Amino acid sequence: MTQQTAPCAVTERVIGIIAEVLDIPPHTITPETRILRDLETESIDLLEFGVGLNAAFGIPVADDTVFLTSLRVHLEEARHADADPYKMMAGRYPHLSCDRVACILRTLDDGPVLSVQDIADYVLHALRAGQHEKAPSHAG
Amino acid sequence: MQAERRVVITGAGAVTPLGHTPQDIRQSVLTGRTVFEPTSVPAGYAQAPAQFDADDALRGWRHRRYLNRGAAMAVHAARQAAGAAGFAAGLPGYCGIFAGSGPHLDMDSDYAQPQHLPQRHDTLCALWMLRYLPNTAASAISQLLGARGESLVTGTACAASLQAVGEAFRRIRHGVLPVALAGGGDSRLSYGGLLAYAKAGALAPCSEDTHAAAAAACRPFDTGRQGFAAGEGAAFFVLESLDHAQKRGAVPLAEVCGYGCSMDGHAMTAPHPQGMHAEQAVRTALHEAGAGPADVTAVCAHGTGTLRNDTAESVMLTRLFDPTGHRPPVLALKSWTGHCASACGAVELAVLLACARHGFLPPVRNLQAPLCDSLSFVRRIQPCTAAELYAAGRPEKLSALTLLQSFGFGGQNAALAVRPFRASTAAAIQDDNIPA
Repeated sequence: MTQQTAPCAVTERVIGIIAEVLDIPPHTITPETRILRDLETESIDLLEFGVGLNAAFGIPVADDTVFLTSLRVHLEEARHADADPYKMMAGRYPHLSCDRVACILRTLDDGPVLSVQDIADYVLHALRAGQHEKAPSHAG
Repeated sequence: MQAERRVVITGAGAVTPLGHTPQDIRQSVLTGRTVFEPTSVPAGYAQAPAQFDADDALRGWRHRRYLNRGAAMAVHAARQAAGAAGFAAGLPGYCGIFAGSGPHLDMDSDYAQPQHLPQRHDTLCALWMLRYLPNTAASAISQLLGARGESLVTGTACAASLQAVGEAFRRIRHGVLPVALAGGGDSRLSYGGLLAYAKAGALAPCSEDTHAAAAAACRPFDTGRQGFAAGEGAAFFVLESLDHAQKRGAVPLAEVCGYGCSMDGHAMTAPHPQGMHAEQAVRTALHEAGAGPADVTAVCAHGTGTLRNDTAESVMLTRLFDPTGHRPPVLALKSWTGHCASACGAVELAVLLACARHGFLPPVRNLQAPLCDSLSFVRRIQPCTAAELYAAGRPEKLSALTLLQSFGFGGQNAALAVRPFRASTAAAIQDDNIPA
């Protein structure tokens, strides 16, 4: 495992990206910080986080997956289809551990659940899956 | 039909190469301090940078990353103007915003290696395009100050910010809005910005790589003129109906009395050689002010220092004033600030008010051999008869008008007739209503 892919280094870098976009000191952010509940994050900030993650780690960033943007829509669909929400979560958000999925489902009613560690886990998952790009993408 | 309203300026905010407060601007003019320097890339020209750190000025507002340098200056100036007018906590929701805006040509600050565009773009933010949209400053100003009324962004080249003030004036005069924030901000002090004007042959060459040579490069209305020096800056003004201002006890700095605009329909960049259509804009502004050329007590000319502008403008002004036998003093403030592109009209209005309200007019710098003797160019710091004391309760006893002119590429002409009010003792104590 290279230094960049060490879990704590990834979390630290993710915190750095979030701090820079939100213009706040990094030490005010922890892995447990909830992005949309504890920080003054707007939708355009998520766009900037995505660009920052792509630039820092060279991974493709699916905003919908990393930021759990449609989590509640997918849960509602699963409920309508009488499907197992845990299975749906495992399929759509493979970077989240079973424990984390259980925690999310348990605390849904408290507000937006996305945490800093969720984003770091997405990055780690992408790096381990070898999805990092050789060079930054050239869009368009 | 509603009666026409009188329109006053009750707050000004600025970022200029002469300083940002009226006190600093005045001090620069009185001591002859300018900041002209040789350009580096492309080399061989002169520029006047404003001492402005966008990160510093807009600290605490994280979306500042979406503002290009000119837009950041605009937002800062707008906030200063609102504060100066007594709206530090925010503008009324019905306040309009009228902002002049130029093309953003500062590619080199967005890309590490502009010569290799677009090799790398992973350093750009997701909404990087906002730095290139003309209405980003207006959007930021609206968010920060809560102004949500009728609004307009003008993109009419170097006439843009004077037109923005004029368009705001008209809406207030005719009762569409009671109050508006108007002005503009722009910077072309970048590789792209300077290259654009250098290729167009509009920049004055700098004979040596020294500050002295840069300070001497821009020579409006001189027979030896060779172009303009690039400047940068912003200025915004709170305009409101006299009634609205008086009701809240605001002290007017000036009255806006008339506005005119027109197009040459002549060439892509060159002005009409006799300024025929520029004259139409000027006469419209005077007509709206209920005045004629004989009522003009000072002219703040566009005066870029380019061969064509200054010739056309002097021919036009001579035609305007000669029949009256009246020769008002003619100023060329670009000889002090450099050419602030789309922000020039607003920046020059701010400089004019800073000086005229305290009783003097700045000379035309570097003017040794005037291109004509039919105009009375200001040659040294001159006592100002263009500003009258604003008499609260008796504002009808006022006459002197100052004419401001901005003529842009594409044959865009704008003229504004204003009446600066001399700083009274009370207003002087408040120091031009600018907060510390």
